[in-house]
Amino acid sequence: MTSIKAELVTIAVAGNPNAGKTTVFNTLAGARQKVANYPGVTVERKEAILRLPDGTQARLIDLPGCYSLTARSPEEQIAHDVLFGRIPDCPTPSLVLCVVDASNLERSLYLVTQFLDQGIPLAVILNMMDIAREKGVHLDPEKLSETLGCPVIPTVARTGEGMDRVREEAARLIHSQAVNGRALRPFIEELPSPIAEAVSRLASQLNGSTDGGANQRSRPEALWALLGNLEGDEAIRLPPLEVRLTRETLADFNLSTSDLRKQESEARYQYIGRILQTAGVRHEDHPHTLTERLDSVLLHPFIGPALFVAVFALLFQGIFAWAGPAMDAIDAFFGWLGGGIEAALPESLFRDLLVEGVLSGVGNTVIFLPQILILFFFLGLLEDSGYLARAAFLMDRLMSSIGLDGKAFIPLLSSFACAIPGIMATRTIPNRKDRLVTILIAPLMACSARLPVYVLLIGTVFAAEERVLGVFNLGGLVMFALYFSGILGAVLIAALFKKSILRGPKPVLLLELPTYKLPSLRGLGFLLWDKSLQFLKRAGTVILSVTILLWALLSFPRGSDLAHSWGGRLGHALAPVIEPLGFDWKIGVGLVSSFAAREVFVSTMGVIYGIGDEATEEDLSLREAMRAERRPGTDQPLYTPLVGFSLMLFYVFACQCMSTIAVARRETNSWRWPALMFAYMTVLAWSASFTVYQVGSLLGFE
Amino acid sequence: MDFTLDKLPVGTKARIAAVLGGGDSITRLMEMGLVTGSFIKIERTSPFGCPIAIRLKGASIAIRLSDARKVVLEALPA
Repeated sequence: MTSIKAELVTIAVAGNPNAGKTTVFNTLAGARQKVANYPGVTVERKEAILRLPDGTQARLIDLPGCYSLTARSPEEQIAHDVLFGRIPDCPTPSLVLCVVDASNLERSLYLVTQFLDQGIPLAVILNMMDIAREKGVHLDPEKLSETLGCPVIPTVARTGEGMDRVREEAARLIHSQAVNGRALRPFIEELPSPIAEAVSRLASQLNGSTDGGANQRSRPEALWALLGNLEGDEAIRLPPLEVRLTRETLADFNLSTSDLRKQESEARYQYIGRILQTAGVRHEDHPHTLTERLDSVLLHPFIGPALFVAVFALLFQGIFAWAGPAMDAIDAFFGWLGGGIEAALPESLFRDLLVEGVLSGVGNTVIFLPQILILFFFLGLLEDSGYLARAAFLMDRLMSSIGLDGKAFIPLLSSFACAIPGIMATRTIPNRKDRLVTILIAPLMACSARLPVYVLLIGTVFAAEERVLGVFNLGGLVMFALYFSGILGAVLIAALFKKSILRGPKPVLLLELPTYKLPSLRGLGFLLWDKSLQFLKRAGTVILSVTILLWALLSFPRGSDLAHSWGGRLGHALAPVIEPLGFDWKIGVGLVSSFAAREVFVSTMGVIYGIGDEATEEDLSLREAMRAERRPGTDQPLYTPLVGFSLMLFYVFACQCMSTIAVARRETNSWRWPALMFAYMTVLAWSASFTVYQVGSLLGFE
Repeated sequence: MDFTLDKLPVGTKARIAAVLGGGDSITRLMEMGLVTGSFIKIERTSPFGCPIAIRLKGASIAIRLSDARKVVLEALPA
């Protein structure tokens, strides 16, 4: 398998974000794509086998969208590493197809000229020609091709226009590597002083430091090293010797990386000006009428925010409410299947393992699909149409005031329904640290699985209908306090992480407001398929294993009741730890079992109090039984309002959800972050409940 | 008379005379075309006043006021 793949030539698809790179890739690759991560990072890597018109096969890989190759972000680093053959299992591409937004030509040529510097065979895919014509861009692809010295193919990838020529050119280019004559020398040979001298010096040193042979790539490599960030954890990956040589060169020429970058950008845009002049490109910059009109409404000072709230209320409603029937149906289906198996097989350990371990583990995974599908359906629509960028534009001020990226808004909002799709949606956040902070605080948003716990406890310990100040009822106020505590906790914890282990500057705002366009249903289909499959494969295995583990905890030793099972004993063992919070060992058992999902607390209480595992949060007999519970060794009731509030507060902060941990493991590609998430949330929950219960008791509350 | 981008009235075109300071934010914006000699126009401000949407080299880009203060402009002859 690998050996066949290794023999295929590699073609990379690159381009700016919003240039239509994904559409080009999907059109070329078709449905048979594989999605994986680049090693060690959570940048997605899509690849497919491409059949060219002459019958040759090639390996088509998708480079992350970026504006530049200077390696300031994980995406740029990956794009650069692929080009230089530094990614294991990913040979240096024989051809780069650079997708360019023709309506944004000048800016797009920044990346194109960087590819030309590398001397890699290149074809420019001039996409969105229809929008370019509308915007008054006059260009002749042939003249541009002669200027750049590489094929330039005009396309409208959305309609498929020009894509056949892309395939033909690709077939031609991977066989004949010869570069056409070009009107302009590449930028790397036209660097201004003193960058040119610094690059020459470093290039010869890098050559000498490695195998000594003449390396035609050493000049772009040297420029890249000089422009890259050498410090901090976003630093470029370079061998120590090369870092030292780069530092020495910078010092000798008395240059800072920042000055160098500014000078290089200025010079490169001057060079691009010459390209446009030589190729006779004229750009009148007509406003895109549709975009202008939509933005004057969607970004209007008053109407804009109102529509924003409406759009996201709809999205939230979708995940929160519309997913419900589908989730109930999945639940019912697995219940029916389990019942069928129980009826068909004699009672045995194997049957229990099959039904309560394996089957319910699969059910616990599949149950998340409706929410994931709905969220990513909306998100795909919003992103493709161009509205998502506007949402980030509207939210930047609010989110950056708590040190988060404007794009963190959507994951956090989604987490009020469920943290699983929420954490999966953090992929749109460009900076790694900002993304990690968002993942870490997402489970503090009050998800829908907490609701049954709140409803049961509020109904048990409070007179929920009692009026407060005439208009509010007590139950509603308590509920509000719980939601608010979660949000407040999230803001404080985000600030704490931003000031400690994930310290970083205010997130850089790198946001383009693209022209609005109709979303592609085909692309949306790919997105939903990818997201579901990846969730089932990666998070599903963890959820299944933990479900089986929890089943074993609660059903061994065989024949014992819940209280005497290992899980029950764990509850007993937890008693001294949770006693200062006002909890008894039965609550301890509930905490252990509800690690599967928070709402399991309700059915566990049902079993413990002899109501059965079908008990719901509205069950009056369960509430009665809990009210009758006495504090161990006394005749005082256990479930006082203070204990109830302390317990609910515990559920506000505690990471009582194995699926959240599983999905955080998958999204961060490490156990370190989910471990930190579990640890900080448990400590936070314990401290909050401890403080409320102890201070409350001292003040004489019950 | 030179002034900075945060002082440019919405809808008026000007030319970039210089970009001050360093830092990741500014150097990235320069890669997106915020360089000396480029024409620039503020399209609109967000409801909170920051960020603002600018028109630069045929694209609309968001930029915060803290960065806009580092962009020195020259007015175009009327």
